[in-house]
Amino acid sequence: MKIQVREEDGVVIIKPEEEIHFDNYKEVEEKINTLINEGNTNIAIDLENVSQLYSMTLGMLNKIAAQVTEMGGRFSLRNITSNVRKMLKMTRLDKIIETR
Amino acid sequence: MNKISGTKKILIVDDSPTVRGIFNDIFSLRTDYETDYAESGREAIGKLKETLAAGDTYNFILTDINMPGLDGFETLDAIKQIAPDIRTGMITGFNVDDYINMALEKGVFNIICKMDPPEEILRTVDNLVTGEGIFGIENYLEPDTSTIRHRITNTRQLKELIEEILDFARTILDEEKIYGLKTGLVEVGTNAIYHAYGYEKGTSVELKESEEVTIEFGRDSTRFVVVINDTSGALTKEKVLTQLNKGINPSPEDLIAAGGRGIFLTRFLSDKLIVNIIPHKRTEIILIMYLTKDYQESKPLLINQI
Repeated sequence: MKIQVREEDGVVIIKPEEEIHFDNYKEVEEKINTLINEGNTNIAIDLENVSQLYSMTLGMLNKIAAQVTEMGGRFSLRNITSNVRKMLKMTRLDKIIETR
Repeated sequence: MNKISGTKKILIVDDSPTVRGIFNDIFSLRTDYETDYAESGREAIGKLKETLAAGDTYNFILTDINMPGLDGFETLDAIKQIAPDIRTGMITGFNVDDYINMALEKGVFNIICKMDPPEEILRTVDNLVTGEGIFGIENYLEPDTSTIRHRITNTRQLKELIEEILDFARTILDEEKIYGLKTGLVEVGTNAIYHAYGYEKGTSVELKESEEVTIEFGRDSTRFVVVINDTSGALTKEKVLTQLNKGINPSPEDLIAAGGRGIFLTRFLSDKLIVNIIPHKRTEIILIMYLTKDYQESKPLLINQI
């Protein structure tokens, strides 16, 4: 999967260029883990190309959010679709993961 | 579940005369049922004791949950004390999710919705009484409905088949239901591959010859049905109910957990979810989407383990 990485106002933004599926989400997780290991703790995922989330991807986001918060950083989701918002609300992760 | 043949004697416990009347209408259509009624938990216990004293028994007792005096859970507790082998089920006109916590505590795996179509209530009671007609898509569609069945051997195929099923369903279901169906297919399909056979999640997987996952789907005049089977039988009814409860009544730890939401999301977003399990042999998940918005709010709890 192609993943864009850019920096804006001190935030590292990761943007998957395609849907995050059950057989490729580990690539996103690995990319973010690499960035965290490099010392980046202000991280956002741009979900413009992601129409829907599932339990596996929600689990990944939860893990990253916990990791980043523990390091005193900040994690957020950007450009989320209504379906993604709905999923976060259903699982009450909208209270835990920041969205913009 | 052992099979029962011949006339089935059942006791229906509900404080509402209207509901008892509706059940009478439903069961009067069947000559293989002998129905008895009680308007309270106390009366049901009395009737059970009398029946046992006369050397007879009930094959099945179905109780309402919310009743004056003993509620349904207390009634079932008392029934189990007297006759632990009698099969039981619960029914409610309220939101089943409000009772999931209690169901987990008491080990109740089936709660029927009063708002469900009468033929589905009858079918569920049939299933619970006889232990038959649970597995197989044909039990959830009108007779002689044709279906399409695929065996999945890898994650790429699963992805392609989900798209094929959604293309088929788009002609009969609205966008909201398609969203729910897609979520359910991904959750249940991935569960059947990754969890059932112990593969690492988030990776491409090629199943071994012995690892069978099948998906079958079809539609009739009122519903679209998909059935996902795996032959690991790794799921248990306790695990399913625990996961549902974590989704409905999450603790702070559940909220930040990395996994375990799939079955909750599937039930939440499909019109009906039925889980059938033969431990260590077979897990069958049935997703039902009605073609109209009827029954959208009635989500029974249907977990069968043989």
